[in-house]
Amino acid sequence: MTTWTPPQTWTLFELFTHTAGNAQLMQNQLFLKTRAYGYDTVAAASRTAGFIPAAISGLSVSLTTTGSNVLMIFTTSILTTVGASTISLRFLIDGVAYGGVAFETLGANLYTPVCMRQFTTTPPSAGNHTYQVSWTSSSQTVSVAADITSLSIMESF
Amino acid sequence: MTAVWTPPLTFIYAQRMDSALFNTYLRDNMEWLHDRPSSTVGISGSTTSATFAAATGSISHVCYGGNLLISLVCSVTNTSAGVLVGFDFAIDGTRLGDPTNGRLLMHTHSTANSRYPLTLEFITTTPPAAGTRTIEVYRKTASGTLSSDGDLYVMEVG
Repeated sequence: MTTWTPPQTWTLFELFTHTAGNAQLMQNQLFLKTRAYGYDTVAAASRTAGFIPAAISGLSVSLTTTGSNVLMIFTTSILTTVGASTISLRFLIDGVAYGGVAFETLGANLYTPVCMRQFTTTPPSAGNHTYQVSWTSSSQTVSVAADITSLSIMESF
Repeated sequence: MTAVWTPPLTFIYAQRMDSALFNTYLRDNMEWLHDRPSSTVGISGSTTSATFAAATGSISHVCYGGNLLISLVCSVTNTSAGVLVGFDFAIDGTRLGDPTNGRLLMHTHSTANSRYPLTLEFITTTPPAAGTRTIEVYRKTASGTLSSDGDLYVMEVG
C-alpha cells in the first residue's frame, strides 16, 4: 500500500538522500496515481414505507483516507410494485447525511434508474470513515434490482 | 502531447540523477498526474437484442494499471412504450456488470419514441492490465428497438 507524506520544504544545500527520494517522490507519486478506493455492492435490498431515512442494508464502504475530498458514486435501479412512490436518497458519511436527491418512481413494476454522484466539499478528516446510502419511501415497500446496486468511494478529488 | 506515466523510480543510496531521469520521473509523471489522459467517443445506433450487445462507438485507451472511471451520458428511446432495457460497460469485450442485469436496468418512457436521460458511471474494481484497452457500452431491450445517443468517457483515476 502506498503512503502519503506531506511534501517537504527544501532548504539551501539540503542533501537529497535516497530516503527522501523514496518518500517524497516515489511513494507520493504512487499515492497520487493510485488513490484510496473502496467499493461495495449488494445483491438485493428493500425497505418499507417511511420518511425516516435508513441506510440501505448490506451496502457500506469503510475507507481510510488522508484528509482530501472524496468522490462518491451510487448506482441502482429502484422497483416499486404498487405505483409511483417518492424516494429520497442521501449519502451518509459516518451516519451524517451528505447531498442526495428526491424523485418519484416511474410506476408499478417499473425500474427507475439512479446514478448519483457527489464530491465532498469539506474533506473528511484523515482516518477511517464509513460511507453508506440512506433512503426513504413515501408510500410503499421499494426494492432494488438484483446485483446492480453499488457504492464507490475514491479519495483525492 | 499525451502525458506518459512511468512507474516511479526506487532511489538507491548515492543515486545519480541525470536530465533523462528527471524528465521521465519528475516532468512526465507530474504532467500525467496533473493532466490524466481521458478519452471520449459518441455512442449511437440501435438494437433489438434481448441479450447484451455492443453499441456503435468504442474507446481505445492507454492504461497504466490503475482503475478506470467510465461514464455514459445519453438519451434513451424505444419504439415501444415502457420497455425494460439494460446497460453495461465492457473492457476488451468482457462485460463488467451482472451477467443478467448488467450495470443498470430501466424502463423506457411511457410514450413510445420519447427520450429519457441516462447517466451511468462506474469505477472498475479490478484495474485493467496496462496497455491499450477497448471500452464499450453494451445494451439490451426486452422488446421494440432501443436507441441510445450520447457520449462515453474514460479516465484512469486510481
